[in-house]
Amino acid sequence: MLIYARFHGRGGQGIKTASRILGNAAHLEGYFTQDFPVYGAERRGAPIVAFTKITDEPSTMFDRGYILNPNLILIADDSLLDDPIVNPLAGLQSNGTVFINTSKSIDRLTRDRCDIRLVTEDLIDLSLKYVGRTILSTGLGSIAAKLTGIIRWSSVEEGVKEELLEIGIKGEILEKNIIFAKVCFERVYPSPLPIPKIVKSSKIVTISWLPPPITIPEVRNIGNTEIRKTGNWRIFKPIINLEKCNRCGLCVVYCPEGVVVMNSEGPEIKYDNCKGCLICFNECPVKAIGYLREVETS
Amino acid sequence: MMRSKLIAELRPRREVVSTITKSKMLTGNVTAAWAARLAEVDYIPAFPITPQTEIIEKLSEWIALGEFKAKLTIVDSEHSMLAAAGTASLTGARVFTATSSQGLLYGFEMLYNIAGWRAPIVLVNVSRAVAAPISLEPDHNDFLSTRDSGFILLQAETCQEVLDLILLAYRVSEDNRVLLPSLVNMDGFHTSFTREPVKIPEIEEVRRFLPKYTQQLPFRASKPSAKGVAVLRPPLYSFYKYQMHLSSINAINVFKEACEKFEECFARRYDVIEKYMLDDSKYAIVMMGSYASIGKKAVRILREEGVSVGLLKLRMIRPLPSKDIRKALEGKKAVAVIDQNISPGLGGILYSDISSILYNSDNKPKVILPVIGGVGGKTITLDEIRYVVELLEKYANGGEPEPILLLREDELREVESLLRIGVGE
Repeated sequence: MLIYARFHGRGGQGIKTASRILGNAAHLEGYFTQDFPVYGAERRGAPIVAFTKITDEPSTMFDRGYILNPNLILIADDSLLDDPIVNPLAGLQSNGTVFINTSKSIDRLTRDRCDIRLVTEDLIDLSLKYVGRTILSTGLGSIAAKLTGIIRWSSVEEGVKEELLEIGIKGEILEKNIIFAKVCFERVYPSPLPIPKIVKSSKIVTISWLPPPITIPEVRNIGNTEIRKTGNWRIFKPIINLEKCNRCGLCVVYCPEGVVVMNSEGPEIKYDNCKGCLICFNECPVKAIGYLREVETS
Repeated sequence: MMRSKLIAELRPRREVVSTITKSKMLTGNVTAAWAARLAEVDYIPAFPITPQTEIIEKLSEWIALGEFKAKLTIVDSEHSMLAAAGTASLTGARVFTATSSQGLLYGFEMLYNIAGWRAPIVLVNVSRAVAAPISLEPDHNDFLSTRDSGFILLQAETCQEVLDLILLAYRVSEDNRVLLPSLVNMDGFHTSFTREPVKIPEIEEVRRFLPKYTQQLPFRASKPSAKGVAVLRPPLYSFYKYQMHLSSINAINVFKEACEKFEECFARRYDVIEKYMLDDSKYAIVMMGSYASIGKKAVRILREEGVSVGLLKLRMIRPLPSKDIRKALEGKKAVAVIDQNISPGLGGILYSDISSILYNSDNKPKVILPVIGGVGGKTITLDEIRYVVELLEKYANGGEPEPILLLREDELREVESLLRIGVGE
């Protein structure tokens, strides 16, 4: 028995905690477990990935590092599906399960990959309902545990408690999270996961000397950050009401990404790169900036 | 119903449950903090750096909560941190500290001093590739840069090994036959941020294994002495340095003794090297650190396919346990040393070490193949290790081995595309 679970999400969405809830629950259930995140650039909103490996073999049978051949994938944010760098479904095993937190219907996925099982829930709605704020980690970890088919609720509950206490969440919020996790646990059903096949890799190549400057680590492509569209990191979209706006320009000054620009009409937010941090909303002295949940804007 | 059936079918065996429920899921970093706590260290000078930060955060949290009594001081740099560590150790305090990569190099000068003062501190390094270019991923250039400093160098693979090697390191470093500081290395991310089941011993058990540290001539204001003095007569410098060398060599047997005591106390067996499916194999690969887990998995799969290969994992790097390594590799047809480091102009650092050990053997392998793999945290796949073993089989039948870099075709394509973005094409 081998479960290779891979979690995809964005910094701040609790991906690491989700993978740890699964890891802890599997450990409490008596399995050998490893879990670990890849932080990459440590920024809120940046795509991150975390892994949990579960087996009933001794821990010496483990390898380490990235999972390239998952049989279970959990995606915290459906905007990642179209991100070519993240490519969250890469390596998903035939008959494997993918869970996506989404409010949309994603039929196209199973059209492209008719050999996988797709499970979706709107965890943001559920967490707003049961916890009162957007929190994904507990729901995602709980759903992952259920989808393995080998972990009981009692272990998940214990895992959620231990992991949330570890990051300083206690009292009423902890209780609400446990209820949220329980609701999530009961909403999905497992189906047997395939044994991950060993990944074949391409052949070793020979590297020869090349003339500089290409071999020197430097970026000469000035202004290239704009190429990386970060607009889909947003959960909330700031919207400027130009009628109320007094053109003071504080939103332009405070925007940490430099994506609010002053036009002849007034300030304009470049939504391709706005990450939805809402600093502009907080700083606007005349309350001319409001916000909407991203899903409600389309 | 489907769920209960699955649980019934896939429940682990009972003995598995009983051996694992006593352990906790911990990262390598938190495990290192536990080791310092269990060793009841007195003083922790610290400076944070990714990926070591979690060690200091955990110790600081315990001290703030009153769960652990020690003095933790955040200083201005790794140079000051190591200076504080070494001098505190000379007063008779048991000292722990930790760093990583650039931090280790920033404090580098002090490493030679601490070793020269014969101050038995334990320093944990969380390996991270050295800039430039900047990386967050592990390789061993930071760790191996310290190999001539006089520190005892130990490399961990798993989180459990982090805990155990730190406890062993204190015992060995503080032994009068050694009196040299230790550096315990773990790999960033693959061990530092990876959680695995770790058995945390009771403090009474640790006290049985690790006696109290006593400094024979503690540094006291009331009883002045000059430590680390200038030696203006060259023969005297040679004498002191050679004494450090002999003390370091002593650490091999002192470590082995400590391992016996360790097994008695904690029922886990260690040695200066670790052999995996090696004794009866025709071919061998040499690796160290977290990637040895990947190597072991590959060896197990290749064995199932009928390939006669084993793995030698290096645990003690300085002193270099030459006799043990020679004995483990003698009689092999061919050996590959996979270096997760690069010394520009030389190649792999450990390749030279292993080759020099085997050169004088009558029964040396026909070929020792230099391989660079995993630099800057590049993953190593099963097929890459398979490729290395195929080369061993080829060279065992003749031909002069060429040094190789493990880099795949798909990875090269990614490199090329990133280079194009960098120049704006």
